Amino acid sequence: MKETRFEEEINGFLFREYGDLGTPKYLVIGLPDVGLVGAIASVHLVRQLKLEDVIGVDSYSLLPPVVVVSNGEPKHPVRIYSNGSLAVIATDIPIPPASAPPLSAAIVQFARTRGIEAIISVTGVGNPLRFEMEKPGLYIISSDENASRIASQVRAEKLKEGILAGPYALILKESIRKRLSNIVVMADSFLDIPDPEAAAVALEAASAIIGVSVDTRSLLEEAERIKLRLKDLMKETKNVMARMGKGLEYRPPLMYT
Amino acid sequence: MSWFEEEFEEKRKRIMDMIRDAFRRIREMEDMLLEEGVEERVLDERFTMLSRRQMEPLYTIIDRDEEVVLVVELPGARRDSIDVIVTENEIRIEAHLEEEQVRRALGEYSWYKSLERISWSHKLPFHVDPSRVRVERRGLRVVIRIPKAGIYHAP
Repeated sequence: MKETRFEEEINGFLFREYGDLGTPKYLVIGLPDVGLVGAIASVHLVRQLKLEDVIGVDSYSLLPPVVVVSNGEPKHPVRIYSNGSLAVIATDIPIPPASAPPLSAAIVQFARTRGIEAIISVTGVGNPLRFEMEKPGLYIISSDENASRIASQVRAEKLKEGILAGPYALILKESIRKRLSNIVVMADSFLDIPDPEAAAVALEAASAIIGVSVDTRSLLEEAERIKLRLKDLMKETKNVMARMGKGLEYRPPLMYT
Repeated sequence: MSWFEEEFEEKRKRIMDMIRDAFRRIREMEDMLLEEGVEERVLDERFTMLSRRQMEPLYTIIDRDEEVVLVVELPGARRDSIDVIVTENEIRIEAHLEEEQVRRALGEYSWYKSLERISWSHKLPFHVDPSRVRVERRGLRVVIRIPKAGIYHAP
């Protein structure tokens, strides 16, 4: 592992900085969730923009005891990548349900102290008709006026009604509480099959919001290999999603108009 | 509220969160035990599949008004080797893996190198007339439509 330059503990999570985070304006979050849309999108963003692995996020008690070895180098399971102006969180493991609340709060606190203007959460929304869709639909939730303004350049359906469950819900609530802008970008996705096509749709929107150009064609070209590689992570994530109250997303909220 | 009171309130909330979190984790562990060891099952399944040099496909089951739809994805499969077998109470899928595709997707790990095929069977909780089941192939995606009108429960 690279040598530590600086480390801080937030909510039981150690943020170990071994590279230069810079002063990013946006923090993109892609956690394993529905269709692994966020996970696929975040890794693609890191690869396309050649972002550097600068911070490892870990906890000996809140995350499974794993080290990820990549190109012979041991790494933390949750990592922050950056090019100085954009930061991306990527993780190799599904977040255990009990660890989602402190991790979500820690991420928002970290973003706030590092001067991030907005968190962009990228995820999928499980749609049972996904297998009949040519192109997945796109939806956006904005935490405040600033987030709405930032997201206004993207043509997407504003989610007017529904329930969001899991770590993205926690990040949204904590962002509102801490007065940090959060935009949740969601694409129609398979619930339990890795969905690179949905990731491409969500990533096109996210990249337009953050003002970078990202080629998503390779996501479609490499879809088969991505699905094969992420098959087991999807299975692990499905186990976690069920315990995270994801079933709630498939019913309407109480209030009606 | 003064600065001190705000700070105190913030600390109080954090301590309460930690206590709630500790209880939540205990409940979580209990749930996991009640689920008869999900992690252990995953380990066993994966080890068994690798020992047999085979893997499962990806699949999702959609229950619609008039039909049950199984969407099965077979990444890594050789297109000309996919067999879908529908019987009265079981769907079975077999395919050979494309060695190069597996190597490129999964890397050079020794246990992946030995993977040879995809094998999966799904026991249906009902009986069905196989001639009424529609199987559509869309590349490496297989869509199996089971009309509910053709479903019956065995005596």
